[in-house]
Amino acid sequence: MSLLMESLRLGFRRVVEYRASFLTGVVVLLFEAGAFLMFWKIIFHHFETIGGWDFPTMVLFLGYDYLFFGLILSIFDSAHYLGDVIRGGGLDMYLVRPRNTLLLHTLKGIWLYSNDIAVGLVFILLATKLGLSVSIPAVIGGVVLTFFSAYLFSIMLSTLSMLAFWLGKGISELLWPFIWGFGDYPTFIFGKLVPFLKFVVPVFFVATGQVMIVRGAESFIRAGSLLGALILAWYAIRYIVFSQGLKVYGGYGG
Amino acid sequence: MVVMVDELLGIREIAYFFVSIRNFLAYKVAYLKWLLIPTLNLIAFIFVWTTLLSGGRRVGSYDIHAMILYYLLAYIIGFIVSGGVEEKVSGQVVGGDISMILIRPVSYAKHLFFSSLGDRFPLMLVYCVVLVATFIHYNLDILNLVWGAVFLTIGLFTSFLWGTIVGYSSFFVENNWGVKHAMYFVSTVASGAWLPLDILPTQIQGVLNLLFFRFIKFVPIKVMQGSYTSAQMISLIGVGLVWIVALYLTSIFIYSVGIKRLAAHGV
Repeated sequence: MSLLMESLRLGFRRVVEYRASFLTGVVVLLFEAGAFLMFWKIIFHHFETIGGWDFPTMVLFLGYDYLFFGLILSIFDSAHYLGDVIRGGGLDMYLVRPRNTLLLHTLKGIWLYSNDIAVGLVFILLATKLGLSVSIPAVIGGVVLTFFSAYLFSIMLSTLSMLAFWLGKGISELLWPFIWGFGDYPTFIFGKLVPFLKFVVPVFFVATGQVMIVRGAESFIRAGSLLGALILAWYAIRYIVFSQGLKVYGGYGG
Repeated sequence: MVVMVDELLGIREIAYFFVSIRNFLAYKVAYLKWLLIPTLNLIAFIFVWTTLLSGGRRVGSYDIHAMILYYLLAYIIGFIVSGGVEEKVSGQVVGGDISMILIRPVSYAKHLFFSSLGDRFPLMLVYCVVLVATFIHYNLDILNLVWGAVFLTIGLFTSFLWGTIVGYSSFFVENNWGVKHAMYFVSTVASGAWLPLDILPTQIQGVLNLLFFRFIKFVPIKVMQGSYTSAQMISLIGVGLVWIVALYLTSIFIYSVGIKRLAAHGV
């Protein structure tokens, strides 16, 4: 716990240290968020609903979407550059310590980049102001699900990064286009791809699942169970990949 | 071959074009990501609009087929005209590598043009073939492809010059990530890559029609779809050329001011 608190403190210091960069990030994010709102506003100007979702529901979706990306960037950002650490021999720094190697790497990468999280929470609030009736426990349940969803994707990203043990370079970058391409839209519009997007590259849990819980179209227990099962499965895969990878790892790099 | 072309045209910066092609082939895996992003975005857009326009619904003048064709052309054109030159400039300026180019007897702007062209030339060739295949598949007027080639050239120069202007911001801002990201968004929205400009609210259309971004994607797409008369296209070529000159002069001005702030080790 003390290690986590220290990592959070350092993560906050890093953000404050680069104030100009932080402020630029805020402006850019507001612009980007405005553009997304405009995109959906224009769509809903032409169409009343999309698959039963109206504009306030889409704002809620954007809220969870931003929250997801905020959590990935703030807490789990180290996952996708683990491959570079392995290739450069930087894993030694963690291996010599009597702690969990991957946990240390995750904690070191905490950045507390709170902009996306703030925008996400503002959008969730905005959705209710736009007339979307929600229950507080369901919204909180969605937030909890988003945290674990970000954790799941961090496990997937770090697993793909670990292929650097054999390939010399991780391939986690190849997962991002799927998250960006499909995660920014409600999963149900993808028709026959839905099973793929729910079980294989589960972008359903970026935001769609959360909105369906809030709307009462999905049960928290069922969605949470599926997410939990996916986390366990990927955790096991990552464990095997990491332990096998360490066998071929030399101090000079992977 | 490099030396032959170099001597033939008297433009030594062409060498950067061939070097960039070799880099492209050497780092194929890294480029796969940049191929996947727009491809998956295209798939997402097709699903979105298929959901919205199913059952014979329309938005503006677009039915489902016209909309899918619009995004398909936007996707193809993106590979032909957009080069990521802003990233190249920022990397060279902040890292100080620009000094290695400045000490050579070459023009920095020409170096940028040919190296960014070379970066994407293999993909450009592939997507030119895809463009022709799209014309055949959709039975589009082949004359519009000829006009389209003219507008693609205008789009290529417009995109390149805008990229250099955004990239030169790194002379003034040490970390220009925010500027690049914001300008990428402006360019994406205003060029019609996100939504066809003619389905936007009238006021927004009015503003965007005054800017040059539409020449990067929207205008070439509409030309290829046969939406303009010959007179309109000639008029648009004139407007496009004026924008290219204006962007060129702006680019030169910003470079000449920015280069004075450059230290040999970077900004």
